[in-house]
Amino acid sequence: MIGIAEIAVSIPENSIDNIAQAKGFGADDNFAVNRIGAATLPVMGEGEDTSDLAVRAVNALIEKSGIDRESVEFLVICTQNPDACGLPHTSAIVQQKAGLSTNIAAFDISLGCSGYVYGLHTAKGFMESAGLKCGIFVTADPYSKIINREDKNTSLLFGDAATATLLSADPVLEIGPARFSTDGSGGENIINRDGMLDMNGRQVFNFAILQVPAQIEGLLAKSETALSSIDLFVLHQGSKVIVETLTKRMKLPVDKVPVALHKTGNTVSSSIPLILADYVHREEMKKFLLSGFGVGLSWGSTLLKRME
Amino acid sequence: MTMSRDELMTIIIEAGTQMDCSKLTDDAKFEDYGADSLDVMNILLGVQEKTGTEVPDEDIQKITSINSVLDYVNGR
Repeated sequence: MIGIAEIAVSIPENSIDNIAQAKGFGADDNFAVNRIGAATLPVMGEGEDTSDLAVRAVNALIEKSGIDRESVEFLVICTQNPDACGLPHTSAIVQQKAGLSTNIAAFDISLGCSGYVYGLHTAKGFMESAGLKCGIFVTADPYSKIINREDKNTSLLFGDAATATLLSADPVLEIGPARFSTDGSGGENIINRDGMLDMNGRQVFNFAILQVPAQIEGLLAKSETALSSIDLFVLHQGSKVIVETLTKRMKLPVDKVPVALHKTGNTVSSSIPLILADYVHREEMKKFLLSGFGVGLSWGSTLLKRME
Repeated sequence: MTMSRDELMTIIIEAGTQMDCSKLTDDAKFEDYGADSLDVMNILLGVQEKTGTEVPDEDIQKITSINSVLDYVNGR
């Protein structure tokens, strides 16, 4: 059975002072720190591209886990801001840059903030059906490539980061079950228009607050899992307000719902693994619920259970 | 569906806005009591769930106070 064995992260050293940026838009410190939830927003360096972020995460994972580069049989990258508009696919570029074997299955998946949940299941299914034992799932979606710094709606929100998850036949965390949903009728609420991100924050907020609780409740019911048995709810860090509103509406214990975008902002598909990375080896944490939601509109929730 | 002032106050309190609701008068502007655009979004979502009335984005600037919400929803 394929599951999660390790997670590593890579956050660019360059960053934007989000408090100063908020002031430039006529907002106060409170708005950046307590509403958006981000005091700084990491941004990848000049001349860097998505593959460079991804390679750093892959290298961090290889160092952290101690696996042999040659043993990686599978690489999947979740991004909607690939190198060269996606041709060739970024995973092929990363295979070469990271010095991975050519005996590797590599492809990209195109998803935004729901991407980590979808990607885990995509990777698990692909690896199990193909009989692969060692794979890496990367999230790397640097929105700095498509942010208009004059747009308050998006400029204060998004930061760049990448993560790499080791998927192994000798896992620490079991993946699933899950629930997935898609509603393309809301797609224009987060969209790339002429190369720039355009977002209707209110509609995205409404979507998240109305749809995510129902999906989570459905997942818990389907899996006959008591809400009280979950040790950590890792929700996509869309903004501090979104996470706190979901927590309040679902009556989740506040201490089981991390809000962790202070130094990163919303990092799209990387937000969930950025948090989860700190908990992979916390033995006392037995059961996790992950929920990602955003671009598409697309949302997915899954359970992770520590192997006995 | 119409909405009473008490029902609206319940929505505002449950939304967990930054406002001190105990001091909020019917014509007071939300922003003067510390609300920002995210608070207004949250209130309007609660109103939408309660009444089925969705305030379109182009009308959101009309929503500034308790009375303005009630006027909008109750069609006065």
